[in-house]
Amino acid sequence: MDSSRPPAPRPPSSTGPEQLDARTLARSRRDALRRRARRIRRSVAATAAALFSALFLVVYPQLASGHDPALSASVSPVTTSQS
Amino acid sequence: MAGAELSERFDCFGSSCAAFVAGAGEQRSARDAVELVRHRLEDWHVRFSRFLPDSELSRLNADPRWEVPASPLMARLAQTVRVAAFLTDGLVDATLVDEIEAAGYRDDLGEPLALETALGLAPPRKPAAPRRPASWQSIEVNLARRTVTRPPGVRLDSGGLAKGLFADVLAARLASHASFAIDCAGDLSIGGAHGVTRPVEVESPFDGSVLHTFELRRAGVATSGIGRRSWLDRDGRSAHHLLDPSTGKPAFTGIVQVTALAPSALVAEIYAKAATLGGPRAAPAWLRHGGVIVLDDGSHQVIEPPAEVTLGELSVLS
Repeated sequence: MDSSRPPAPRPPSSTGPEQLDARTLARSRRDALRRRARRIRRSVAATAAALFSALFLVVYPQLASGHDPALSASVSPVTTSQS
Repeated sequence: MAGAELSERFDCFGSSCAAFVAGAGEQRSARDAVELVRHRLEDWHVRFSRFLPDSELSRLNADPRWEVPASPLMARLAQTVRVAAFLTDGLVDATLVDEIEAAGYRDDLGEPLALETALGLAPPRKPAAPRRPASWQSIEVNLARRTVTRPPGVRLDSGGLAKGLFADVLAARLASHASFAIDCAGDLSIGGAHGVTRPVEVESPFDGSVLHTFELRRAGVATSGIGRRSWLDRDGRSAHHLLDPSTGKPAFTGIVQVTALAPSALVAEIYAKAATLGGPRAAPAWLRHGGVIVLDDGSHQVIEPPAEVTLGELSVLS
């Protein structure tokens, strides 16, 4: 082997029609995956917000009226009358 | 969790008292708290009865000295008599003992006169008015030295004021329990550390039916009226224990019963009495925290507690 000779320059990479199609295909698949992830993320956030709002609308009137479900100890009614 | 509520009802103050307690407090179980209420009220009934000659109240009333040593609770009762009269401009006057005895209320009363009968025999209706000058103005109380100063002969009637005071004193002892209600012969103190809502039913003086139900967490409630302690006097006229200070006679104002809500049972008792004595026009002004007014004709008016009270209580929970 002749080590004094410089290595021959590599030919420029090929950009043939098949390779261009593959890159475009990969990019479109990647974009599709990103869109799907965004859609799932948005739907999860929207569902969580809707569930929270619905539960809040149920619980808040109970709390506001004094019927706290966390304080569910049953108490007897008392009667006030003249003594 | 607070667990099941324990309760006990018993006879006291010539009427019926009860204690309802859920959950252990800082110093005692719910069972012990119910027992505490019963023992205290029975003890105070003996000490503060106007009808027992050896009671602490009878001895104070009979004492010939101007300045009389008193127990801490007796001193507070004397102070309460003065404060109640001051707050109502003399309308609620618990020094009218001579007048109530002259009207015929010298001992525990038997069955009351039927309300319809009492109203049929009653004089024309008119609002009560204060007495000028009044004996209550002469009362001085020194809580630090535990003395009551008044002219000899000025006597105190424990009446409803004592029941409201007792309910408040016991409520302070039970504050750490999850929930409680003290029924001191119709004067109620409701509360507890968990802020549980309790239904409070207002009874009709005519037939015992429930006129209205309040939902309360922390409050004093008192009902005053002319239906329970009533009788016929020597002249066959209907009489009862709520006197018009200006005349010293039973007051017939057009109102037969008032239930008042207030931050404490004692204040509720003062408001209920003042509203009953003040008559239909003045009564609503005494019920700024809510209540029920029952008129002679059987109709009633409900005044709901103001909304800001509920919102204020809500902030306690958050």
